[in-house]
Amino acid sequence: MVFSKPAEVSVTLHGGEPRGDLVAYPPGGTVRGTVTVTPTRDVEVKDIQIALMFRTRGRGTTDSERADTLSGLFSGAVSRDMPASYEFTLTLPDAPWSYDGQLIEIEWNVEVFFDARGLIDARHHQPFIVAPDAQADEAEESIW
Amino acid sequence: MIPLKASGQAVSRTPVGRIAAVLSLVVFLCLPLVFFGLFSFGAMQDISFAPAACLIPLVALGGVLVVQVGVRVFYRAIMGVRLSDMALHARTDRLGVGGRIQGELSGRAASQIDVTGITFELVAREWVRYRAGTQTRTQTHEEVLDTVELGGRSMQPGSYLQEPFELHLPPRGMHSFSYLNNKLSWWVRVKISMERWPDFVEEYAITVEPRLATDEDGEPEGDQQEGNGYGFQ
Repeated sequence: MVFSKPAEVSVTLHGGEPRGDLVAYPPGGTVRGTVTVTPTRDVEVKDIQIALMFRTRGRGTTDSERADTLSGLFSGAVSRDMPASYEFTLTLPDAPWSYDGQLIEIEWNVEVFFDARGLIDARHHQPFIVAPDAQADEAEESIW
Repeated sequence: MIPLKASGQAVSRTPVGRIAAVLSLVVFLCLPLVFFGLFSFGAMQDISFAPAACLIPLVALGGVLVVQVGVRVFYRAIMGVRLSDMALHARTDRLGVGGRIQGELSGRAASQIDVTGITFELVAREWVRYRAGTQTRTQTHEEVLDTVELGGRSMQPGSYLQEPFELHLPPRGMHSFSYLNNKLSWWVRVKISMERWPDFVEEYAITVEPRLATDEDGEPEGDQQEGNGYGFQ
């Protein structure tokens, strides 16, 4: 087992409504984005998964839940420093909304799991906001 | 109008509840001492010490339970002497964020009482559970987000209390949620202050659903951008 990151992972979110450094989506809305994975060595990839997850933060023990997951995005051999991009579209549930209270915070993330044979898994998360007053994804609206 | 469900736990937030907490602590600490005292003075000669000592925690916890139940029964009993048939009815117990809850408090004076004030409060309460070493602890934090205060009055035995109220949820508030270690709950708290008598305090649960209020439960009001620490981001 090699104890270093097998890949650099970045997530770019599309649509939604920019709020500060983050992007906000309405509950029940669609989160679209691109994940770019750049292997740091030649590896055999078992799986790449992308999920929408919320977790609580603050005083209490963490509660977390996966809302929507895309798995089996890629498996096979990849070469060092050869980036690969994957588009994704995932659907948010109606609740919970992002929240910032006194004892509890609810934080939403796009989580990327990079599972490579014989290496420690790489995990990357990109936070975003779920708020009922966020503008829906324009691309999603144009379909209808 | 539907009746809202009373928590039955509001007594713990009154002076009576604080007295109960102190009494529980005293009982929890003193019962084991009494137990040891009985052994020391030979009052329990026929019982061997080791098995009986194992019962000490049970006896202490039993004492606490008796105190807590006793105080609640006592509180209900003394409140019943003054006020009876207390109930809170509302148009709905489920509403959207930013909505308003409209309802009516009803009850009957069981004896002559001088009510010095009636308060309705909309309360958001966070509850968390966490591990600290080998212990599991809980912590709560509450925020009163709207208040309606009514004046005092003198009530004759048998006279009825009927007080309508309307409380507004903040337009950028948060919906109720309940996970294993983290919860946010919403309550309407009613406090009736009486002269020379403990306050009547009761809390009634409401559910704030994950949706913005509609005409059905009152449209959001005020500045939509204004946060209050209990809202979505």
